[in-house]
Amino acid sequence: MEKTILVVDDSATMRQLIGLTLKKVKGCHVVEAQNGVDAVGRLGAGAFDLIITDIKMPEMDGLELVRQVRGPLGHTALPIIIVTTKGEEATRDAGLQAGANAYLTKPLSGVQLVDLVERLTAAPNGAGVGREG
Amino acid sequence: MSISHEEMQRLLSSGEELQEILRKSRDFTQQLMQENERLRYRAVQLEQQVQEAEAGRDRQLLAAVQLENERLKEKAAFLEKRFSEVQQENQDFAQKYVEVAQQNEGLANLYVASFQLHSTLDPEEVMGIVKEIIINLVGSEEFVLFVKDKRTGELSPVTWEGPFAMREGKPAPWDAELLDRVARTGQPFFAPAGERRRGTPLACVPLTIKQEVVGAIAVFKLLVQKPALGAMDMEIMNLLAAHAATAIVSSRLYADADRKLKTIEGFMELLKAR
Repeated sequence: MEKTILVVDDSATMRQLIGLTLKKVKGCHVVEAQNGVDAVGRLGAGAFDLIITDIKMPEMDGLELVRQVRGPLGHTALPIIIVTTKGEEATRDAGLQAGANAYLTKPLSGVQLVDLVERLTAAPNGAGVGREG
Repeated sequence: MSISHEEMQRLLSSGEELQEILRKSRDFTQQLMQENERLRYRAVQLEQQVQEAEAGRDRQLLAAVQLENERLKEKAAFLEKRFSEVQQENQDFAQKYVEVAQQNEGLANLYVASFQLHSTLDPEEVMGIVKEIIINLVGSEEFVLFVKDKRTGELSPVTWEGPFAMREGKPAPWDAELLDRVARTGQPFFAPAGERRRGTPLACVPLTIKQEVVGAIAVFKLLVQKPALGAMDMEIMNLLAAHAATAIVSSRLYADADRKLKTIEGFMELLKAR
C-alpha cells in the first residue's frame, strides 16, 4: 500500500538522508517541506500518512507545526515523529505533549526510524502505537 | 418264608452283577482321580510356563523400552546441541544484521554528506552544508570551521556553532598549538576516550586537497544525547576532510571567477556604452 510521508526539515542534508532511509519502507513516497509554514501548505494540498518533523526551523518550528496539525488543521490521528538535535527532557516532553507520537534525536538511527514508520503507518491512524521518546 | 432255588440263583447272579458294577465303578473313579491329578500337575506346569513366558516378554519389552529411551536421549541431546548451534547462528546473524544496518546507515550518511557538499558552488551554502553535516550527522553542538587565509596562509575561523568554540568573536585560546600541529602535519586529532583535557577539542580534522591543508574542523562538544564520537563519526569527519575542502575551495574559486567575470562584463558594457 502506498504511504505518503511529509518530511519537514530546514536542512536539505537531513531531508535527503531521511528520504534515503525511508526507501527501505515498502511503498513509501516522500514529500519534502522546508519549515512549518511550508508543511502546513502541503498538508492542505494533499493527504499524508505520517509527518516527520525537525523542531528548530525558521518561520514556524516543529512544535508549533505539531500544535497546528493537532489543533486547527484537525489531523488528530495523523502520526507525527519529531526528529531533532534537541535531546533535553524538557523539549522531549514538550514535543510529546504537543501531540507527537514519537521523538527521535539526531544523529538519526535509520533502523529506529524505519521501524517506527512501519509501525505507525501499519496501525490504522497510528492506533495501538504508544508514544515513544 | 422259603426262597426257591431259582430265586436264590437269580439273587446271587444279581449280587455278582452288582459287585461287578461296583468294582468297575471303583476302577473308573480311581482312573478319574489319576487323570485329575495328572491334569492338575499339567495345569501347574502350564501356569509356570506362562509365568516364565510373561517374564521373558517383560524383559524383552523392558530392554526394547530402555533401548528406545537411550535412542531418544541421544536424539534429545543432538537436538539440544543443534538448537544451541542454531540459537548461536541466529545471534550471529542478528549481530551481522545490526553491523550491516550500521554500515548501511554510515554509507547513507557518507553519500548524503558527499552529495550535499558538491550540490552548490555558493561558498555560503557550502559552509551551511558543512555545518549541517557536523550538527546532524556527527552530532556536534559546538565546533569551529577554519579556512586558510590566502594572503596570510593562516587558518581563520569562518563559521562556528556554540558558545565555547568562539568567545567574543575570537576562537577559544586552545587552538594555537593543536591547530598548528594539525595544519602542519595534516594528521587528524581525536581525543582518546576519557583523556580529554579541559579546553582541548574532542576532534580536530584538517581539510586537505591532495597533501595541502586548506582548513580544519575542530569539534568541542557533542549533543547531550551523544556520549562519544564513534568510528562512523570519524569516517564522516575524514570524508569531510577531503570533500569539504574541495567544495569550499572550488566554491570560493567559482565565486572569485564569477565576481571577476561580472567585473569584466560590467567593464565591457561600460566600454560599449562609450
